[in-house]
Amino acid sequence: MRSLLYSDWCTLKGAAKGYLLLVATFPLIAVMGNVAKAAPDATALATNVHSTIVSTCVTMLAFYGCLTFFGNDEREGWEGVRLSLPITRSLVVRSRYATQLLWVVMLEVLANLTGMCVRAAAAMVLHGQPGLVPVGEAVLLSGLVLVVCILYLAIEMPLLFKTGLSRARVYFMLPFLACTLLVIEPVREVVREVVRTVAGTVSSVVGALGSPLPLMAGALVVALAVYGASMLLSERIYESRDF
Amino acid sequence: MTAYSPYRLDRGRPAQRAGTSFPCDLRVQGVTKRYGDFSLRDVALDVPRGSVVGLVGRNGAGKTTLMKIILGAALPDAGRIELFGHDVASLGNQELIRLRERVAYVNATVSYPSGMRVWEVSRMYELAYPRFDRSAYDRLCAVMELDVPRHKVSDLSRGMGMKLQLACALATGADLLVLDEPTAGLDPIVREELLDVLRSWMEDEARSMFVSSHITSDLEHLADYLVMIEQGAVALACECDTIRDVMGVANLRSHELQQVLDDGFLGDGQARVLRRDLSCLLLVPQRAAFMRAYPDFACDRATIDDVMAFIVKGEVR
Repeated sequence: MRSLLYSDWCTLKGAAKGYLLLVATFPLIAVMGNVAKAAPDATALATNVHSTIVSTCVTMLAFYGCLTFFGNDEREGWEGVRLSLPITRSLVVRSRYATQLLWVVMLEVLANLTGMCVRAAAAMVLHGQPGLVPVGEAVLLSGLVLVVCILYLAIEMPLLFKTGLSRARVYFMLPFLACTLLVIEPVREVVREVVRTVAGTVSSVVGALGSPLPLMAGALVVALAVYGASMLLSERIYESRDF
Repeated sequence: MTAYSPYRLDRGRPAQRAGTSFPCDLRVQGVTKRYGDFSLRDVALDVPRGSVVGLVGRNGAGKTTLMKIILGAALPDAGRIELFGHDVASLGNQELIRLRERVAYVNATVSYPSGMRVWEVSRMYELAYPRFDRSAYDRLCAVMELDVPRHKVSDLSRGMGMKLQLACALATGADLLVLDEPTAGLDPIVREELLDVLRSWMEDEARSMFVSSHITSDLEHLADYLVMIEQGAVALACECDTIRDVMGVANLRSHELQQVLDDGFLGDGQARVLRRDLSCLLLVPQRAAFMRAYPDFACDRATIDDVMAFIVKGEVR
């Protein structure tokens, strides 16, 4: 398994320049977008900048990272050839799940650090005072993004192990195509209703708990459990795949 | 005269042909696999310890499918693969890993992730194979003039890529080397270098090699046994010496061919004939016997290419 983790690490390292460039462009987009919204004060601006950086950076790069790993496997026929190493198929799956999780956590740390630096600098330049985001809010945001990414990967990875990246691309287009349904008014109304219901439920649960953090922790545990179940499913799928 | 068939000698079991039981590092038994219109049918072959077994066949004959099944990249519909006497399907994960540590593979193309550097590939092998010998790897790199540790895999030429694969595979400490078209697309100098390295590796009699190749001249100099696969089935399995030293190709006129057939030298349905413009070529299983029987007919030594052509395109008489 160490050899597989190592090859994934090398893949990541090889693509590092591109990712760092992307990470560097997110703050620019975040600052420009939020200044255009004429944020009323330094704290609001800082919060907006930070949340934009963390949410977009982590979710997008988690997705691209996944594509990089599976794309590289497929491009050179490595996914078949690596099975000639002294490894088992379940180790291939486990190592990839471990790499993906580490990748998302790394992104969280990187995005938070970038967000903190940028928000402070931007608020200082624009409002003459450093923009500080309460720690609780930052943790909440990071947790939420982490939950979304882990759940997304938990759905995505069995498909990738089943069909490989080139075929799975079609499935990944479906959510984006589904978004086009929002131009239909009744569909939009149903979505609004669902969002209202979920938000109301979450608010009442948070109200009952007194803080959103326990809910977030619970959601994280559930997401990790789903991720684990997804790994077991992928192992089963991958056992019977031919290359 | 005695009819003699060179075809399907013990269905790919060269070790058992002599009636002795050599240990086999690789044994393929009744392997069947269907992919749409293509099927690999009841393939059986052995790789006896200390020997080199060559696998030949046309494009699409099933060589790569068989290689994939042996390496675990494809799963057979029926049949079994034994590595060092153990059925791989019946092994637990840890046992399978222990066995696979004794097998190294060289692919037809360089398939490492393109972003990896040469030294990283060797490091990956070092992590995968507990018996990986770093000094042997360095020595092989020096012998093959592979002195580009910082180069990315994607920047290597085909020859350099194959050298990298070979250096890594040979340094793993494996007892069985499986190679898929290792010399295809290489210039004659690099090809000869690689073959020299393989020959040196085989000097240890505890090692064995299973190699597929289109370049049959390489196999003539390297392999002890030959397995020919055609339309998904083993069409011929024999010792390479049998082809080189025993078999022949007779160049006959039509009436001369008819005479040989009428004499029953080959037996009914055993003759393989290739028709040319003005003559016919006949695959002769025992050249010496043929020359004694027909001293006036021309009969040359056979090559693997000749035998392949007869099996693939030859008319059965």
